[in-house]
Amino acid sequence: MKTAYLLVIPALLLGGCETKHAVIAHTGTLLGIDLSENPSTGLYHVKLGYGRSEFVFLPSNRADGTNDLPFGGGAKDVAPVIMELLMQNIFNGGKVYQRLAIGEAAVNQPGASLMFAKDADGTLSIQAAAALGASLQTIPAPDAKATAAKLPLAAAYLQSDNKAAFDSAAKSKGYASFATFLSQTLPLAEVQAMGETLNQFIPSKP
Amino acid sequence: MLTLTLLALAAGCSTTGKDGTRHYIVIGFGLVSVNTTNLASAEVYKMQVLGISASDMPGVRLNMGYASSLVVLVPANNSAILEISDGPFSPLKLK
Repeated sequence: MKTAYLLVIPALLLGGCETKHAVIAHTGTLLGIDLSENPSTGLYHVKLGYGRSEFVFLPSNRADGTNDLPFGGGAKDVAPVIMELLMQNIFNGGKVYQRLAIGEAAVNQPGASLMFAKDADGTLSIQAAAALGASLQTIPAPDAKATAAKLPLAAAYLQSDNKAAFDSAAKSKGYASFATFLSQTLPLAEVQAMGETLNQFIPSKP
Repeated sequence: MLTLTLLALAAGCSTTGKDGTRHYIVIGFGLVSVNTTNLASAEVYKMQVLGISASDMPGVRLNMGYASSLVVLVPANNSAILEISDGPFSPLKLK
């Protein structure tokens, strides 16, 4: 019984430890006894024997190392993640091969496409490389002109005392807020249409 | 006797490999703490235990027997592309 206390008490002490706001990917193998908390439900369970577990935690609405809520979109602000996990049975080598792309910039990178086109050994076949090269050319890149057209709108929004008018204009075009409109990758025509709607708020060039 | 002495000396040691990986060796009873307050762009932890271990990452966990664990941490407001290859008794490969 004393042994049981010795084992349980350290586990309970660890219960107060804090999880930071990071994307967490965990893969584990066990051969023996496991007393653990299910990170997604908070419930405890006991396993006996051989077991494998995979777990991914995607926090929303918070930045790293803070409990503040700097974003307003709730689950909409969850970092985009592409993840693939290949693993062997422990009795067959137990090899783990994992690949992840986390964040908007990462998941849109051609490098991420290249990585995910590799096979389970981490090698890229000639056929896969050719197919990937052809398909990447069809993915539209962000329009530099549209990005440039957003700049005077963003400047006017920051300087304006009437931000509600900007939000109202954005909502009339189907965006949650003007900040949401600014954060999205849009075609030039849509940015120009917003500029025309908010023309009265944009200072004319000297 | 020499083996036992070397093992006793190695207990609690930490070494840094050529690739910058930090290795901790715990024989007997020990505690390895990792501060995750200010995460780098990505951090990867691998743990292999034969015996009894307790961990709080990703959830509270107490294991007896053989346990292997691989944890990847990336701040939610960062972007990262990672390729990880690992085996039970082989070094972790990270690209």
